[in-house]
Amino acid sequence: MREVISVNVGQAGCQIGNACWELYSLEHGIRPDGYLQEGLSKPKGGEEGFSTFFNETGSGKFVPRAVYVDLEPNVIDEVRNGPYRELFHPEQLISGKEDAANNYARGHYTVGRELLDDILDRIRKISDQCDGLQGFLFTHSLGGGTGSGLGSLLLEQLSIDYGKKSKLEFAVYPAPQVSTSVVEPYNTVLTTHTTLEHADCTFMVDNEAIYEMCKKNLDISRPSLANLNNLIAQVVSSVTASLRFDGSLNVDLNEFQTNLVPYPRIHFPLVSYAPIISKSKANHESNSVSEITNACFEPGNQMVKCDPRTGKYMATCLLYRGDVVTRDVQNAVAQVKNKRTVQLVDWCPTGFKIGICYEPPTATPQSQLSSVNRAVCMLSNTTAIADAWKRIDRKFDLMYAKRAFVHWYVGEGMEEGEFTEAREDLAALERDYIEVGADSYADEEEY
Amino acid sequence: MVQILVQSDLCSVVKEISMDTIWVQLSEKLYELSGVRPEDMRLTIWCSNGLKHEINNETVRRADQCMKDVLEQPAERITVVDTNQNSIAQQLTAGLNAIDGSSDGGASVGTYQLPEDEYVRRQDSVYAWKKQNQLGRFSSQYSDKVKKARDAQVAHATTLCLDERCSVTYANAPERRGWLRYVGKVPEINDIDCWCGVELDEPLGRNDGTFDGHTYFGPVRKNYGAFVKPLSVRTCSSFVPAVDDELCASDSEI
Repeated sequence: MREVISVNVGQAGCQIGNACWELYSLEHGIRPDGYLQEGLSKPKGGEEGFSTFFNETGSGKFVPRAVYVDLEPNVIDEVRNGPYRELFHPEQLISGKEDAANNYARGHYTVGRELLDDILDRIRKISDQCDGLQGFLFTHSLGGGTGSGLGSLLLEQLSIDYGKKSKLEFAVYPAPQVSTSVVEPYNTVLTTHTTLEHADCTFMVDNEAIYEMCKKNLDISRPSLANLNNLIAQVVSSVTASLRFDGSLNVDLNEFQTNLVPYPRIHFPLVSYAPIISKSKANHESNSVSEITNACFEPGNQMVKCDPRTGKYMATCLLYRGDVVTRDVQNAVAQVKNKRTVQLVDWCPTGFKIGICYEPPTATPQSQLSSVNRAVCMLSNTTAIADAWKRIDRKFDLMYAKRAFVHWYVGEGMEEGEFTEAREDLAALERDYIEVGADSYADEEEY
Repeated sequence: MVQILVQSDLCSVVKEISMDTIWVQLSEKLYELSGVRPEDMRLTIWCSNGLKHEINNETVRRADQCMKDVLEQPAERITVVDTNQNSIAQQLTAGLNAIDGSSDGGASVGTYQLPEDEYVRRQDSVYAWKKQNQLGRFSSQYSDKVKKARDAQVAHATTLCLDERCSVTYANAPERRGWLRYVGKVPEINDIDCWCGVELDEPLGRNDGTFDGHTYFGPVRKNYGAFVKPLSVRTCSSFVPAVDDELCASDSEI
């Protein structure tokens, strides 16, 4: 058994968590009340894979290995009263009464800390039900108060309590154009600094990129948060499919780090997903292995806005799902390697790994995303993602130069020095990415 | 609880807000999101029946009335307007617009720069890792390899004839033809490599012979210029402009 505990923190984290667990349940044949769908004698996905995410109780009910945490009750109340209320044990759903007011300091030091012991107790109980806990899978936002503050506090604590167990994150990165709050840049820089040494691998998702996918690819004229989260869940599901079903790559949580992260700080792979097509278009496209593989290199399929053509790749994993044959994959990969826009770092070994999971993706009934018989998720550690840090760092500088709203943080007992320390760390991270891209030499280069 | 879209110059977010919220509490919540101080706030609220309400600052700061006392229907959207021209939120909006509008990504607006010596001193950096493990330029083996490759490029460059017809070929890519117009360094790309500036016959390049404002040849038409490594270039008068076979075939049919 190699169990994984999901930790969903804050509004965005919990809502994405909902979308994910709905999808996982469908994929494994579990009803919203936690029992098997009619006609099934055991969950889909094989005992080994399935039990990484679900725990079977004596009565034949399946319970997600997950905790939901939020400082205010609204979002978690929706889980408590929603269609999946019976799936979760009430103790897995932890909410406070007073929100973090979009303030990292409240999530990390004051309001959040009060809830910390409770949360750690619940996580301990869930881990006691595991035979061989692999690690933790976080979903949270970087810009919100709870997601950034309490999320990073939990990551720190889990490092202390569970030592070297893997910790992977799905993190909602602030959208380049629209902010969820004025202090998003502060929260993002502060939480990234705090978690940099605790998270093993962080997959970022920027809402604006997802929003555009919903509009352009799924023909949703005004995408709602639910639309965005459904799409994010599909991506999370693809990344975790190899853990939940029999697969060939990244079967263990720590393999993500081994395959993608050459140096601990450089742990932010870019995620791309294909095909993203609406139900109305699905029948008109063939979605061959080579087509979906190539689509992963198009900016419209990336979860974070950046330009990989300007960056260098350190490692890439292509995770295929569904009706895929090895030979097609090999051909597609050979094509990709010949792309002039794919530049590899050449002073250290770069990996190009392939994973195939024969279970096709599932579309939830209300999702606009079409059911397809194959899909691919590309995880690539490229220096281009440093653009994301550059963007947020500039915004931070602009605000911090005026000390705008810093008093909200100081008022919660945070020291101003933490701002400068965090910013220096992020500057070093930007510089680290330059260092990764440096020294490479290519005979065929063009400007 | 109703879902309300809150928008201002600096935020756009859906929040769950109770219609029982007292105005002064609402304004505090909106302050956290928008950065607009309650005393500077003017709100426009759209309700579920489609009606629009302008809420003045007097109402915004009331402690004795809640939202539903003024709005007969649940709110759907609130826009927060900052009436103070000199407020911090207005200053930030102007600054952020400047970042978005500038071509350098806002490098000019006083970006924090980590001093190089401080970076080099850090123990957990990629630089430290490369140095400790003798990777990249810290590896004599790798440096030798790169030096040899660069020397080979320079050696080949000396065999090329400037202003002669040329062919540009890469492994696994179609040949391109044109005129060799420049051989030498392009400091705007890097200080080390030797480059060939090629005026292509077709717009399959990336520039017009200039790079970062410096003109190396031409300027030629947009995308007719490219800077490539010498080893991909051969010069000879026999590299005449490629003839499109298919086009000729269809011409002859007509």
